[in-house]
Amino acid sequence: MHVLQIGLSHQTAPVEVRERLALPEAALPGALQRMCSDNGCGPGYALEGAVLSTCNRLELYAVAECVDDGHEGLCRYLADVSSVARAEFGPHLVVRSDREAVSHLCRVACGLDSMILGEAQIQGQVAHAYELALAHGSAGPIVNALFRTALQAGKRARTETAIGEHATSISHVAVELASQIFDDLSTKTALLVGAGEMAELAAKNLIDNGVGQLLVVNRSAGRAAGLAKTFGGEALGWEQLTQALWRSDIVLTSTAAPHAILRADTVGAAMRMRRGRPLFIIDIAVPRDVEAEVGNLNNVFLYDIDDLQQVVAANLAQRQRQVPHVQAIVDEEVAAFEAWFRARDVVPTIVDLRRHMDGIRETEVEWALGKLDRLSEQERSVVLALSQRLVNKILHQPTVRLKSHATGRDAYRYTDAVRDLFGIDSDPDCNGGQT
Amino acid sequence: MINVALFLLAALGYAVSTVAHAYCWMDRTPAVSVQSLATSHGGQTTGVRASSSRCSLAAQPALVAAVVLHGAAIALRWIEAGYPPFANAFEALSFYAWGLALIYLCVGSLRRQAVLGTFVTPLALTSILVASVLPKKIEPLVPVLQSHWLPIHVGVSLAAYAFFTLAFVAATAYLLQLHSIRQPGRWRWARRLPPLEALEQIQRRTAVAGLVLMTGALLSGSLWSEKAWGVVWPWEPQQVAALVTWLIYAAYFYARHNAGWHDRRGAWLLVGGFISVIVTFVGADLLMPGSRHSFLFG
Repeated sequence: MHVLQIGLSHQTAPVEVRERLALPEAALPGALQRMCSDNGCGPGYALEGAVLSTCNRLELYAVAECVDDGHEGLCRYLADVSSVARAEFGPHLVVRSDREAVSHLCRVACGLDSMILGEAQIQGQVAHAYELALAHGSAGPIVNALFRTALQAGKRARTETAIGEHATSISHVAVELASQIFDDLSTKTALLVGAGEMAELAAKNLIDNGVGQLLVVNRSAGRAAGLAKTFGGEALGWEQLTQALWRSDIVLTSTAAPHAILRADTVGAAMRMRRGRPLFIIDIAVPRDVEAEVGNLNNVFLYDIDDLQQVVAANLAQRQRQVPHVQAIVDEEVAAFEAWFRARDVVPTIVDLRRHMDGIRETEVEWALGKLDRLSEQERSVVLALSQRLVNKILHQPTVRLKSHATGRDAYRYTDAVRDLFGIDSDPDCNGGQT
Repeated sequence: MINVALFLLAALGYAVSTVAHAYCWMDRTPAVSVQSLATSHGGQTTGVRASSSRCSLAAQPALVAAVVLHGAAIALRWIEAGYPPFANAFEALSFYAWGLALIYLCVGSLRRQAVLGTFVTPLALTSILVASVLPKKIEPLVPVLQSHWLPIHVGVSLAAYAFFTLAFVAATAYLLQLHSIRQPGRWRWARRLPPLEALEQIQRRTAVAGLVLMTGALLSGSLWSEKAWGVVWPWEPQQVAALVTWLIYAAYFYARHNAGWHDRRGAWLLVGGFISVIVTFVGADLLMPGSRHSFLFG
């Protein structure tokens, strides 16, 4: 029995390939039902399975008897459910099995494989993939344990290390700074001046994090009204910029103006109107919209795009330093999974051992009976019984002992030893001797 | 002796709370976490916040227990001595520490401001430890202190110092947080402090409460002095120091409300004010033995 994985991600495949393969959310239930429809290697593609599909990755996890056949099945499955020829995605596919596959899913859940190191969303996406697999019958005991292991690793990584700490995008840095300055964002007003994509994103993030009110000022009244409608804010004319400044606590500027639109004297006057309450200004425009001198005013906190990008870079470097700690957690969880997985091998090992011995017994009985061709029926049955009793007696202790070790963490050591000493192949049915 | 036992138990409580607060501080979870806000939107909460609430479970109750035990110790001592326990250095420091912890519990433990306990609990613990090495024996009250003004004047002064101490803690936290905002990407540890606005509010409220009490202390001192010595303003060192302290906080009050000192100027003024408080509380007596207040530390 093996845990297998095939997949592609932003690191292995260009976006053209990823977007063609992407399985829409609505198609996933059907796809999962087809994966193990017969719960056997017949018409189904795998014994158990799950699909992790996000905008950056498509990964299939499965359980199969044999590594090569299993991977083959997964590739066929992927071609079938996505209707993309294998030749197109084949070169971009990364294929993993056993420890590597388990470790990979854990790393993915921890955000180590993400485009933005340590991002938190992926944990939810892994949990979602697990839920879907459970709901649509493709998850069995092994997929169950696999995903629980990965989710556990992801949770531990985020509580025990700082891999998920500190904002890694400009708009999140802006929100983080805002919450360091202001006590209760719901009583605060944000002002959006101009309309750059990044400023809009930052405005959206501020609102998502509870900023109470949004004002929009734009040279084009229509654009201002449109933006105000999108965010549920209030549109003001360009000439009302100064008054808007009095009312606002957070200002986001991103106009295309060739010169500064907020001068130190304007902001200074606004600060007097505001009776010195803090004003947080984020200037995302290039060339800058806000005079640098504004940042020297008391209780004005001014950041330009370079400041914010530096923070992002510093925060990412901070996360990078957490990677070894996270990897240690992944290794621990993978080891625990492996111990559990191998413990499941006790019963098959006993069956295989008995089958192995029976094979020897049969060959030898046949050889002996061939030599003794004048035996009576009774004598033949005694020889046969002798061989059976011998095998039973020899196997009795090992069977009892293996069963008693089955629940232990190191059960796999015994099954491995038995298989090794008796030369029993783990996967008697697999071609190519893959173990 | 029960009061001493209670006092020692309270000291233990302060110590436990100090350690627990320090542990909360070291705990990775920052007070400000955008990621956790973002994940809660995604429906998948990862338990990121759990650890911070777990550690405050130990920090707050330990402090509450310490304050209750300490309060009982002070009350018992009052009954045992037959006069208000503000008459020597041990009693003064003990009451100051108790007031500091009590006021912090009332104003500081609300919402995210609980992180200030990391600074307040060591201060209370230090006062308690210093107090514990001072003579604790209950002596007969010297005649000059046998007055109804004793609990009012000394109690109000010590309460004012406690409020000023909290204002100082908030101001220090404000300056640290300010530095981390001005230099984002560095000084990350300061991010777990409360936001500037909240700190500024605590500063203002505690400084104003302290100012009101300090006014009471000066007035009651003058009245008592008039009654005891016939002089309203004997110009003795602690009185002068107290006046300077009062003037600093009065200046803060004015600047904060009329000149818009919501910023680092206000915070620095409160830091300066606290130095003056220390001079008033300790220095004036220690450096000028023989003054009328010297029964406290003399």
